[in-house]
Amino acid sequence: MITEILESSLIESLKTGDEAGFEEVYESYKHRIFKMAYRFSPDPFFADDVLQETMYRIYRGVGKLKGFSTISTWIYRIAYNACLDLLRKNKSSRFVSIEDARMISDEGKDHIESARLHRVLDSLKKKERDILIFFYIDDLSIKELAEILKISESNAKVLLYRARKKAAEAADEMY
Amino acid sequence: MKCIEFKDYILINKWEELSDKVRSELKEHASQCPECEKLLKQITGLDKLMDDKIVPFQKPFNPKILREKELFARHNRIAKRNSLIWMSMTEATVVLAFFTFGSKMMALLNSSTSGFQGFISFVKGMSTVSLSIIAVVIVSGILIIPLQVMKKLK
Repeated sequence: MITEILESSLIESLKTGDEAGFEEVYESYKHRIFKMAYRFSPDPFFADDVLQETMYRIYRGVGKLKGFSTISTWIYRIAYNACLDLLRKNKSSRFVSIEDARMISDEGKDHIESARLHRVLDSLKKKERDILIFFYIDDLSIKELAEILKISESNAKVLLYRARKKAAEAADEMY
Repeated sequence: MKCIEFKDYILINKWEELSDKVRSELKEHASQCPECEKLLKQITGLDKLMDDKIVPFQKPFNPKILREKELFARHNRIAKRNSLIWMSMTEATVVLAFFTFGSKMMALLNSSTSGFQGFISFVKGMSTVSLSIIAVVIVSGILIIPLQVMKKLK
């Protein structure tokens, strides 16, 4: 996690349109945003699109950085919206079956695990899936999770509780 | 520790984020309660599954993409704005024509024997208030909606 001092200097450089600021954001968040997008749809091209779209939206909306407790929650919220928008555009690439994953490549083990993970995520309700993805992306607190998903803290707690229980049972059944 | 507390700790927190003291208490409880032991095992499995490696990503930052995207978006915005302006102008022309030549058109329609006559007599039978409300709704649709869309596009 980026410290508070680093965060404020990062916000300043973003607001001045400094390319170095964007590069810093990109370097700090690229893996996490990519991982988050990959959890939503197991397609590296989709994840790359989400990352580029997120960077563009940060570039466009840096002046609107209000109402978020940290820069990371703001960035995750943008990434989440970009992800949902792009998912809506190409709904067909949402699901990869274990059989398809096996055929994708010889290093099938990772793909099979990934397909298994997506089956677990698909067994959840939308909000449960979303909170579970963010819970495992970063060390986000309940408050931050609630802020990203625009729900109350108590709702976030209940959702997380339910999502992890359901997902744990679903994952267990698949082994 | 009660089962309900155990579930709260396990499901709301990550195992590695818990203190050593809490972890040992949880382990102790799990050793005595088969149901909680099963849950702990399931959660550990889920944590492992969720933390698996993903496709490595090493693409460097390219500010050119941002500029290209911005250019493309600006193009799109201008095209949408222009089409909205044309649409509004066409709609306004139609309304203006109706108000200017409305009475002549009505007379023409009245003289015809087409199926429109039923509709015309229905309109004629409507009160001034209803007709005014319909006119306001149409004008709002013509003026306000495109303006709102344009505002959003900005």
